[in-house]
Amino acid sequence: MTALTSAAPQAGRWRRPHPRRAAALAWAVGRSHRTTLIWFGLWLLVSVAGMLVAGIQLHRLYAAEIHHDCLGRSAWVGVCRPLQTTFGFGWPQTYALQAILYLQAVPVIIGVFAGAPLLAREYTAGTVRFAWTQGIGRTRWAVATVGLLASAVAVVACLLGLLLQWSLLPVAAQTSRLADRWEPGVFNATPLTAATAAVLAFAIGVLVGALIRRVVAAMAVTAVATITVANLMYNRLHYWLVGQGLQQARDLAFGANGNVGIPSVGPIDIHETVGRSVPGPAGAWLDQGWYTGPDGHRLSNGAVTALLNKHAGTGSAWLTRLHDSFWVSYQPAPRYWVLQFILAGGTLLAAVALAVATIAVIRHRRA
Amino acid sequence: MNVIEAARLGRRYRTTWAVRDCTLAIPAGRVAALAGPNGAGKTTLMHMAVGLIAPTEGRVTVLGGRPAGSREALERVAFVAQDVPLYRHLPVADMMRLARVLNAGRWDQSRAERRLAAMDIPLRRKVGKLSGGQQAQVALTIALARRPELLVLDEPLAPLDPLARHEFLAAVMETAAEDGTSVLFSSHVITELERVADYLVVLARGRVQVAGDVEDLVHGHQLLTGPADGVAAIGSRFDVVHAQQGLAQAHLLVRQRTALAQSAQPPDGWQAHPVTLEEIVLAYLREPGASALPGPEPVVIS
Amino acid sequence: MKIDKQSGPADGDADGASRITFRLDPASGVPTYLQLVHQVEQALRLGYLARGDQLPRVKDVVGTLAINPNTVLKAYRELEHRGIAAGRPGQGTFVRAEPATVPLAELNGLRKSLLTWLRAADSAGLDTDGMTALFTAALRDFHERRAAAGAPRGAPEQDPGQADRTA
Repeated sequence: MTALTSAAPQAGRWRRPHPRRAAALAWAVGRSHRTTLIWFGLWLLVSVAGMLVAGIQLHRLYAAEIHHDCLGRSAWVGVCRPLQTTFGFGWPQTYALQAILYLQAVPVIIGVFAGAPLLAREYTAGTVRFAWTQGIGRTRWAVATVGLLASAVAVVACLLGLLLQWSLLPVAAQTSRLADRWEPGVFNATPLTAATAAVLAFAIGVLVGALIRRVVAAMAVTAVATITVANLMYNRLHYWLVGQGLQQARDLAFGANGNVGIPSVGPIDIHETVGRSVPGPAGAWLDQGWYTGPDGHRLSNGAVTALLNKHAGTGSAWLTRLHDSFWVSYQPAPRYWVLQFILAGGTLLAAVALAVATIAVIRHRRA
Repeated sequence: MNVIEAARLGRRYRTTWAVRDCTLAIPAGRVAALAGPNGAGKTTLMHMAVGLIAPTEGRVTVLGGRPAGSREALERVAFVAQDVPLYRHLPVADMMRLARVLNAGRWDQSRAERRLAAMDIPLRRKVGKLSGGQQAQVALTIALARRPELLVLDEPLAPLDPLARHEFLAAVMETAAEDGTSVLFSSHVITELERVADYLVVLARGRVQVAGDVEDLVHGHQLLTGPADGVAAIGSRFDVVHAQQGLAQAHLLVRQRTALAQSAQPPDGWQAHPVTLEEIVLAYLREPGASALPGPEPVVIS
Repeated sequence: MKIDKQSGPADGDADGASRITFRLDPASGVPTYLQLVHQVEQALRLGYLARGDQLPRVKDVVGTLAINPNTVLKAYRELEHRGIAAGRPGQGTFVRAEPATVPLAELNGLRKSLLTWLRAADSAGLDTDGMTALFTAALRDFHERRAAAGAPRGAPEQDPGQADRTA
């Protein structure tokens, strides 16, 4: 029997390859990482259970409010009072705060516990010496592994975002600030943006694991990196994003409300959505506001403060007189989805770039 | 066809060269042994041949010129790394199924099943819970089920007890006999090489010291025993690889200069003994400057 | 307990076990292939093998002894050159003739001269090990000289590369 010189199998001695190779590969990836997937499944289960319980309670309270018309004419009267007090100052506020914060931590958890160990563990255990010498080759293996697990990560985060949104509906319907959809914590934790944020964090972890090749060190570096990215997205990126392409309008009742805080320097940041307590175009998000003088030019903060002090006792009357020269810049309601897709798209693009970089690192043949 | 060809292959890690200036041409159909002390660079050389790491200089090709690590090479070369890396948390059945998926284009399921059954390997037990010998056999089963043209094994016998070693070697020899699979295995133990290998490469300090057919090497070397003061005269007819001298007597491990010298009588006053492969390897390892590399033979006209 | 049958009906395409099985003496100093040759000749002498019997398949031999297949091929080639065996392509190697058996009278004569030699060696002061060493060295010299003298005709070819290993 001469040595095989072609790829053609000997007749009769070879089994037909598995008919659905993609499904087989998915099984292989899932089976290899079954433990991780199980732990994440459990974590998802617990998180979902917690948000489900809270959400059901909140929706029940909300239904009671609707029943008694608490959000309309009967506000703060009779049976509505305890309901609205609860929503205004009670555990729903705490829950909303914690749940939103929790969703900010989700990408970090995913990046550190799912992303970082993925490749680092294969290097530490030496199993790359097995995986990369099989017929499939390291590129296809890496693409399949990272791709399939990134999809799983996206689904987990999407579910958590969905539950957050659903459970916060009653809270968002009442108080304008905390659970508002334009708030950075809520804006980047929608089913769409939570999924892409998690995929980005996962990609960061995977790349770090491919570079560092030691599990604990990779996890530590990934934690720092993902927390930094989360911070940047929450503070800088969000306000930069929603500050793009703002529209302007005046003659809003906002200035008459008297709840404008005038800083000593810089713009008057409003950063609120129009609602019951904040007037403006329905559903819009207000960025900044400023006063103009009789000549139409913008008044400096110092001038405004001086005017306020001058008309100290008649503050609201003066503001009423000046209300038609109060301007705001804002994002109209329909822009919400445009900005959601821009954020999600940009995050996903960054994740793909990192994944490509990871494949390049793997192919560089360092082992 | 040469199953492994290396041209001035080298690999550097920061400041040290693990392998340097390595030129090899191992013919197909052999069981080739890569021998050398620990740290000689055997694992680095093998990793380059199977495409795990890229050389710093030179190049290596397998199976008649295919680049190491290319898709064609990966499909036809099966590698079992040192300490048998398998996914230890998987049961044997799942490990085999995973291997099958990763080698979808070329997998002999019936062979894998037969081997595992013949060795009584429990399919439900986790790989990590098997004995060292069983783990090695599982890894070998995976390699053999791929029907490779070249089988590369990095120190496969080191973690095995004597019985497991014998069974492992027997399995490898059987596939070499049955399918004509070429085999390259590394070992820092040289006692059993002669029985198993028919091609030898000795690697020391990252350089190839010896490369050639075992039969040529054994017939081409002999041990001369004679008077210590006659050592100098020997050097004109033979290449002295290693000399062991007492005050009166000396043992010289020599290599014939030409093929015809094989049947020549030993010089007067000297006795010739055949040498084992082990003695040859040891002699070269003791003499870093000596080498036995294949090269053009001087033509002798009688 | 597993009984090491050389090959059995369960072993894929085997068509039955061989009549003999090989063993190795790694410490004897005799090359492996020669040990196999001697064992075949011995088996013939003792009647374990007869003309037409198939010698163990190369695959089975290496599977039991864990030796290089080329060694077995070399042994079978040597048996062919000695006229004892013949290979049939695709089928295996089969016994062709019995080795020239030495008549009893000649055997007795050889034994007597051997005893004479042993007495001479004993009176020279050699012990058993010394006698064995001397005899082994002389035997080796004898074989080498005979191999060198018969090289043009009988030397096995060194070409294990693409050889038909499934003899």
